[in-house]
Amino acid sequence: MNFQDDNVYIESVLNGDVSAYASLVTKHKNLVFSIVLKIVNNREDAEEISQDVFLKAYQSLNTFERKSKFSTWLYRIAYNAAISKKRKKKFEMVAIEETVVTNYSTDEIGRNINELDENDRQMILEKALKQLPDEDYLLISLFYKNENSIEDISEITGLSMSNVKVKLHRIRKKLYEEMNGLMKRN
Amino acid sequence: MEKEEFSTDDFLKDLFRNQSWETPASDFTGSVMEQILKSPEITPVKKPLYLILRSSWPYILLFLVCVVIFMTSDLPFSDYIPGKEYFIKNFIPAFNSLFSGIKPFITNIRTFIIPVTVIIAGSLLVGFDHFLSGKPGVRHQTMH
Repeated sequence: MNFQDDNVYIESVLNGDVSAYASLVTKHKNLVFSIVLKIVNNREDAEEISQDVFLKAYQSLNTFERKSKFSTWLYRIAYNAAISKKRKKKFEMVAIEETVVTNYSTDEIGRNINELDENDRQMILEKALKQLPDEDYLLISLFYKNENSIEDISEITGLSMSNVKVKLHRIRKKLYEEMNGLMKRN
Repeated sequence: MEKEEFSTDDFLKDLFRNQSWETPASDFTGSVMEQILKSPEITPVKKPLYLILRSSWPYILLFLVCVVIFMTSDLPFSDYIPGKEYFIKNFIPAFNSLFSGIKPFITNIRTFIIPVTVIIAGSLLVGFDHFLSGKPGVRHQTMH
């Protein structure tokens, strides 16, 4: 399904065409749901929270000042809603855990993994991603899968830009390490 | 540390490209729209006063600086500014007594002119920057 720019739908909704909001929901529901699911780890809760997120965003549409992308604004609502639902101190945004990363060459891992066929590559990546903590999975997915910028992720998560950079750097290292381990085992 | 290294990691970008996001139930959009249609009113914007002040302080400062400059200037057209006479008659003596302690410092034009110039230049610079960039004084948007 081809979607127009978010601002087109927003204008329509603000001009009284409520049904235009359905396109915004359809366009962003997967990512909102994925963000929430990664944090609360329960599909039923994630579904309920995601619906609330879209309701909240609709009711606050007037306060969206268009200084950032609508998606960034929406994902931030989703992130905050999921975090407050989970109320888990562990997920706080300040601490950067030190991880022990062994010496390896990312190029070497890249070369090795490229020798595998597409299915195996995806399988290795999926397995490696599952080994990551949920918040790490979310950050790296936003960056590589959704192609959000550092600034967007900083706005969504409330982390400083430098903190996002450091975290991404370390998550990436962890991911490579996991992939390396998986390839050695297979 | 190689901070930017990850941003150019095309290998991971390619790997992630084929990954899909989780999907909610098929009637998700319908459920959301059903709830919205029950009360389709959008909450009107009520921006708190402190947020308005926080985002407009450079303009207020700039305005006050301009007012003081014009009120105390001898420019011919400034005579037509309403309240100028009242301002000079009442406020200047009041300020005079208020700042009598630092009067010698202020009247020493050489030492006074530098901070005044810096303040005016700074205010103008901040105001001009806000005007051009259109950035708010508050970094994040409000989400109620």
